[in-house]
Parts: sequence; structure tokens; C-alpha cells
Amino acid sequence: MALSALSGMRVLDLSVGIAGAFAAKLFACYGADVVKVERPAGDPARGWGPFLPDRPDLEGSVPFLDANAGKRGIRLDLGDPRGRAVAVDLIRRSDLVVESFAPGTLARLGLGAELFADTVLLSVSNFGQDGPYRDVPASEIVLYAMGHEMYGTGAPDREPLSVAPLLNLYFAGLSAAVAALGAVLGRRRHGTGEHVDVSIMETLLASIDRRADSLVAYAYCGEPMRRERAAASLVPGYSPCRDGHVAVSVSPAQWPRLVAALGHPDVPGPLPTEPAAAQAFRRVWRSWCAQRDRAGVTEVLQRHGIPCAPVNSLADVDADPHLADRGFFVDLDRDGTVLRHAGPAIRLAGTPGGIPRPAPRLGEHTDEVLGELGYPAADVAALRTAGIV
Amino acid sequence: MPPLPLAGLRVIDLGVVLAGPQGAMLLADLGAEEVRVESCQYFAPSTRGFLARPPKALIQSMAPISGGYPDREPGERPWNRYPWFNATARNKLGMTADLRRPEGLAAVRRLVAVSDVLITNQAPGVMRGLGLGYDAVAQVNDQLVYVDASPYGSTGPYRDHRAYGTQMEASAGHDLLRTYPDADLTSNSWAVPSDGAGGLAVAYAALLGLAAREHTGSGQYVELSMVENLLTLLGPHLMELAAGGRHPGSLGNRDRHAIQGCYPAAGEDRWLVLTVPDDAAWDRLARLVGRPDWAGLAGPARYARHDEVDAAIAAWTAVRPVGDGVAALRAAGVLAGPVLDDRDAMADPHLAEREFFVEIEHADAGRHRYPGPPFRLRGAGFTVRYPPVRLGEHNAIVYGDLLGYAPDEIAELTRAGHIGEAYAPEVP
Repeated sequence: MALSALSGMRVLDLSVGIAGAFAAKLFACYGADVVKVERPAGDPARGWGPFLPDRPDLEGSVPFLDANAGKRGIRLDLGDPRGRAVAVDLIRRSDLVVESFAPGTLARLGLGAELFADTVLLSVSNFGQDGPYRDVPASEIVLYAMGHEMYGTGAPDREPLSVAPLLNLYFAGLSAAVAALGAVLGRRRHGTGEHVDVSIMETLLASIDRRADSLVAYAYCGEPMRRERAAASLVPGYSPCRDGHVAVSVSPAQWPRLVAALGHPDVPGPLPTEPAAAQAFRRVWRSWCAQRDRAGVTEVLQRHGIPCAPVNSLADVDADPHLADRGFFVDLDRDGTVLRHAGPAIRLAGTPGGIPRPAPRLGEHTDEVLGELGYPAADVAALRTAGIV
Repeated sequence: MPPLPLAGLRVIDLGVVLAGPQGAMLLADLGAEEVRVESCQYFAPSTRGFLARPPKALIQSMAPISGGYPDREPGERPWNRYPWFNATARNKLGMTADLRRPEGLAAVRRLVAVSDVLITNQAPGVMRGLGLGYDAVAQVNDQLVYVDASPYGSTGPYRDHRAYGTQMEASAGHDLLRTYPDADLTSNSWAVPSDGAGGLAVAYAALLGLAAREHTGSGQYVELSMVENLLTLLGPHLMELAAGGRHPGSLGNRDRHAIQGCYPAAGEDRWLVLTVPDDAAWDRLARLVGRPDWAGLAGPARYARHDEVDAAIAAWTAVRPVGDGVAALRAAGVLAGPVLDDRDAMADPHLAEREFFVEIEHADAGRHRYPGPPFRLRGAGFTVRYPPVRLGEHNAIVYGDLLGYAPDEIAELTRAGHIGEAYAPEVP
């Protein structure tokens, strides 16, 4: 097997839910050995839908299956001293430990800071490891409302609007992975451990999907971002075609390209500035788009160097020829069901990544991992009888 | 305090618009020495503004996110005062060179020779056209990690397609997952999640390249498609569709099973959100909003009446200040929070205690507070070593100290317009 960027690195994933799990997955996709530890009843995320059509059980949660692909999994009771002893052995051999318990839980379990002094500990939580909101329970939409630019998303005469479910939690996981991998490299370079404290709310506040920019703009000019109708720009951001919409951006400097692309006798050479001329242009534009499908409009405009893309459905994405050509999707068999995974987005020419295996079944690799730690089979059997593993 | 993780590494930032500069800044926050390369002869679109010298009336007519220069004034050097750019520009050194002339290109090649990472998200083909494609750069420094972010990647039928964030979001299928369920996408506002996630992925790509270098002893070409990167964040939606062929599409603010939504509070355009996590919270909520008869309704039964439930909740929240509503809901075990606007976020006591915002003095923009990084290193910490970088701000340090140019060479490069702190007069 080809060497990957993180080959040889060991990650222990104690996280529950989605954000921490996705951070750990981003190590598994690039070659790290990631071991997911679940409580005996399983990660709570296994109970969150949607479920695979034929698996409405612990092995069928789609969010769990996606966020935990590429990992090995063990089942372990951290509430029992014998379970904690196993956890300590796992922590001692790991370069990175990921956790997302309620802040303070690890210490309460007896897995205190001194255990992590020489390693990298990534803690992902709703609001961070300290501060007045530390213990406030929250759902994804609460974190989005408090952290991201929800206030500025939607129509001005309606309620602020959400983004796709789980996107915020995955985004927080990616943010956390950046900091954690940075800290792992720092440990290799300087020999120093690190505790990385990631607040999901703060990852959203720092997002350049408008929020960080609008916070700076507010600091500069005293005006917060609001839900506003897009000004009647010459070319609307979304234009209807025969089979849906296209998203187009044309800057004034690109006007001559648009004239050439449309090749229409009624489109004036110079940029229309008078309202009547702009309106006349928009009539031509609307009818030009309406006669074509999304692919046709995109092809013509891109040929002339104008940014344009079809507004795709998920089914369009699933069937997209470009993604197929690049081999983006990774189909893996899991107990007879083929699961389609979004492949690693980062492609390292010399050290490729991948998704080495589908998400683990609950406790699938318990014997294998405890064997690597040096536990004799009889000890593992005793732990299993006691309900520890 | 231990050293920052990337202290001792040098990164070249050739990023444009949002994702490239943002990814580079995250590496700088992690301790890398960063040199941003720009040109006084070329104004990169949508990077240091939409025009180098925008008229005051124009910026004052724009929404704050684009026209929010300090005090709504372009100032003498507007390119150093653009909020989008300054949100992605701290902790960097800045140099200028006209990359389209040999002496400018030579300066960048000298920088390549002493650097560890190069970041670009220039439009497809631009870097190769400049003589800074991977093969050319690797000949100068084969230890360099070269991160090339683009909308669709460097292979495949769409590899040359041009796209901003709005096109990338459309390609990835996200627009249709975030509409009001009863309206089409044209009633929604724009968003650029591909840029938000793209900046993070640029940083992650660089870190992966550095990690790989420890195995292989050499740098490499690292490619990132920002559309594919957004798709990885939508993974469960794609997996669900592929497994069953069905997906409900946009639910707006609703959850699939729990009562959830966004509701008005007292005052002008004030809102809160809530999720009902369990039966106990539901029963308390029902009593709180004056519908004790709803207590005891099971999950599917209450979900079937979601419209009616929303109306009752909204009638209760609409007459209360947002803070009072949130506090009462939380006391009832409901997951709730305010929809914070930018002003609220900057005044938030939790963020203040965690010192999330950092105050920075900037020579052309003044003294303001900025959002900090999306993580906290409890050991090594975070410091602002340099304010958001001004055009050509550190030419003396970069050319003189780092690249070893002699004073007479620097004078000549200045005369030729490579070294400067303002866009050439002919730049629009």
C-alpha cells in the first residue's frame, strides 16, 4: 500500500456525536490509524437518523456511517476502572486524542490533564472549555444562530434561515482538524504537547462564509449585516432555465464577454446604465436562458470566461460526469450494503489518501485492538464477560 | 509558553478572494512566517476590494459586508481598508512584485527557494502562465509543498471552469438544501460555504503536505477542489440519497423529527431558535406557551401539528425580549438561543470572557476589534504578530533581510515599480 501523509500516526477518537467524529475521520482519510471508542450502548449518534432504508438500528445511522468511515472501532466502558485502564493504554500510544464530552467530563472520569501532557488533546464542544456558556446545552440550529450569519440569511420580510442540516457540525470538525494537525506537527517539531480547545460557536464566528467578514465590516462602519434582497443587478444571481436555475456572476468588466456569449442583435455593445436599457437587456437575458437548459447556458458562458454553474440537486451531483471522471465517490461494501462516500477532497500527488474501510460495527475491532495493546485473549474475554468491552 | 506549532516554517501566500488568503492566515496563526505576494500593477478581482479606488458614493450605496470600509470612507489607500480582505490578512508579511516581468518573477523564485509551503487559488492556468506552475517551482525547491486550490480541481471536464463561491455552492447542490420550504431559491440570500470550508481545507492541505514531507523527504503537488471539499461536508446527504434514492430536500429551519424553528421576539427584527429534545421538555414547553392540553403528545403526534405548534410558540415569544424568552425556554429544558446579529456577537459576554475578539491597531484602518481564530491552543496561545497586511508593507524586510537584495537593487526595483505601497495609477 502506498504511503499516505499521516501513515504511522495514531489517533484515538473518544468523541460522541458528529463534529469531533468528522475531525477524526479527516485523519483516517489521509493514512492515520484511527480507533473510535464507543460506550457499551454505542455512540449516541448511532441513534440519529436518517437511517439506511433497511437498517433502522444501531448499524444504520447515515450521519454516523459517514462521519466515522475509515476508522476501527472498539466498545469500552469508561465508567469502570478496568475500562479506564484500557483507555489509558490507548491514550499512551496515541499522537492525538479527540474528545467531545461535556466540558469537565474527562477529568471526572479520572482521565485528567496530566495524562495528556505529552500528547495532543483535541476537545470539541459547543461553546468551549470555559466561559459562561460552557455548560449550556445546544442543538445545531442554536449554535448556528449564535455563531454563524443566520441573522443575515433569508428574506428581509421573513424569519432568518438555516443551512443544510449537519453542515455546521462538519464545518466545526474541519476547523478542529486543522488546529489538531497543526498541533501534532508542533509536537513533532518542538516536543511539546498541546490542548486544542475548539468551540463550535467560535468556528462559525470565524467562518469567511460571510460571518467573519461581516463582523469586521460591522466593527469598521457600525452596521450589522441584514437580510437584504439582492440589488437589481444587471444579471440576476439565479436565472431560470428550461430545467432549473443557473448561478451566474458577471462583473462590469466582463460585459463585452457577455455580449459575445449571447450574440444577440438586441444586446447593446456598451454596458447598459439607464434603467430602461437595463430592463430591456434583462428581458433578452431571461428569454435567452429560458430557451436553454442549465448545461447549455453553462457551456456557452464558460466558453466566454464567465463564471456560471447549474444549480444542482443532490441527484445531479450524484450523477455528475466531472465527479465521476475524477473518481470522487468511494463506494464501499458494508455487510452487504454498498455505501457511497464523498472521497477525500485533498489530493496529494505523492502520498494519496482514501477511505480505507466503512464505519465500524459497534465493537468490531475490540479483540484486534486490545490484542495490539498486549492483552491476552483470556483477559479480553474476562472484560467482555464483565461488560467492560 | 511553548513555541507555536509551525514556528520556523515559511509560507508563501499567493491566494486571491477569500479561501486562499484565509487558509494562509490559519497557518500564520499557527506560527508560520508568512509572506503575501501581491502586485502593484495587477488588482486581483474581489480581493482587496472590487475596485482599487472605489468612489465614495458607490461604497456608501453597498451593503455593509462589501461597502463597510471604516466609517464608510474609502480613504487614501482603500485597498488597505476593505473588510473582506482585512478579515483574512493578519499575521502576514507583505511584499510586491510585478510577476509578469522577469525581475518580479525572479524575486518570487528567490522566495520559493527559502520557503516550505506555497498557497494559490488563482484561476485555472494563471500560475502556469506566470511561470509559477508546480513543475517550474519544484525545480527551484523540491522541498516545497504546493497547494493548488481551484473550484473543480486540476483534472476532469470542468477543470477550466471559472467559479466564485456562488457557483461552487450551486454545483455542490447546497442552494436547494437551504431554501424556505414554501419558496424557491430566489427568495434566499447568497452564501459562500465553499469559501468558508475552502479556507480551512487549504490550511489542512498544507499541513498534510508538511506531514508527508517528514516521510518522503520532499515536497509535492497538493490539489484541492473546493466543490468536492464542500461535498465532503454534505456527505451524509449524498450517502442517504445513494442508499435509498430519496431525500426530503430543504426543511428550512425544521428538524426531521423534533419540533424546531426560528421565532420572532419583541423588538425590531429580533429572533430566537429552539429545538425540543425530548418529551419532558415538550410537556414544559406546552405549559409555558399556554397549551397544557398538548402535554403528553408523543413525538410523531406533535410533529404532525408543527404548523399549529409554531403559531403557539411564536405568539408566546413575540411579546418577550429575546433574552427573557431564551432564559425561560432553557429553564424548561428546551434547547434555545438568540439569533445574534453582528452587533450582538461583538457584545456577547461569553465571547468577551474567552477573548475571542482581538483589538488591532492598523495604520490605514484605525483601531478595531476582529474575530479571532476558530481554535484555541491552550499551551502555545495566540498572538497578533502583525495587523492585517497593507500592500507592500514589508518590502524592506522581505527584499532586504529575507531575500538578500542589495540597497542599489532595491532602489532599482522600486524605480521599476516592483516595490511599492500603492496600485499603479492605471489600475482601475
